[in-house]
Amino acid sequence: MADAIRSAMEDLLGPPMAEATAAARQEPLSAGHGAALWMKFTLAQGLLNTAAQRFWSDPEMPRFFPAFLVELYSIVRCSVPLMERALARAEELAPHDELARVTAGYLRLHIAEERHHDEWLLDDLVAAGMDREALLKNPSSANAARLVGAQYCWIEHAHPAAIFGYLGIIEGNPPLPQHIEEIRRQTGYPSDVFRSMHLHAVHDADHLAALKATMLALPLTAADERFIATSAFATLESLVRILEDIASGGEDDGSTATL
Amino acid sequence: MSDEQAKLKKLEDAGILEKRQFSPEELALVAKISDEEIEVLVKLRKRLGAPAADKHHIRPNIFV
Repeated sequence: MADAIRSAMEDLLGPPMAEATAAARQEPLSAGHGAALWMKFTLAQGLLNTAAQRFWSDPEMPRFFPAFLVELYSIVRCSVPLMERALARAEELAPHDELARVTAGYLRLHIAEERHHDEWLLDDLVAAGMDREALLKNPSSANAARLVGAQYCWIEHAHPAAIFGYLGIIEGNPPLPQHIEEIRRQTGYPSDVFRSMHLHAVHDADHLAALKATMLALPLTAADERFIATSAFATLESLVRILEDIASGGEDDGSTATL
Repeated sequence: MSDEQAKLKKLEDAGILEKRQFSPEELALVAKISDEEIEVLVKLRKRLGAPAADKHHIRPNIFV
């Protein structure tokens, strides 16, 4: 009976994502897909920068800066657990899947680079006058959950290489010291609030170079390229929405009322 | 105009692509982006409105 229902569902909806992806991945591999994917990331990163320019140039930025910090923490504290789940899935698939094997290799290194960054950022938020315990107990906003949750869906039900789309957008525009200093002056917060931002300004350019080198060498099919681009564009849309909602005081602005 | 040239023009007209910033090889890759993906980018670009002037040093400051 279950098989009959499954068959009927597949007639209506097509095969499950994981099977569809596996079938698509029988296509020829080409290193050129990685370069094409990187170009899509580049265009998407430009759009995120446009959104960022509007966000950070808003005269009300000092008012909503604390909400930005809380939302940033919501994202950062999810990052290593998310990458660990992607790594676990990639390791499961790796014996029979070259893309999964490369994904796992990249994630092993990158997780080590990003570990404990949530704790550093938490210290920065405390330096901004927020309550550590309240921050730890604060559930992530719906926007942050949408951003990260989409990755869990794809990692579990399609392919862990989805995370390259997530990382490619988020790490595609590393902070710049000049801009961080400008924010510090505009908000009046002490330098300690910006330690994590400065650390990422120093290290993320190297992270981006390593990610690009990995992406260009990824063994991708045309379907993989489309799939990871979908992950990247969804990440872009979620980040734009996060910035827009924080600036407009929307319901998902990572409210600091109790922090 | 070829399909590929039309795609580049669409991205350029939307303010997503500055051709002078890319090599011919890179533009050839951009020209292969699917129509559906271009629509996603164009739609988002329209939603964002005009970029802020003289703010090229600004970054999202979002990291993992």
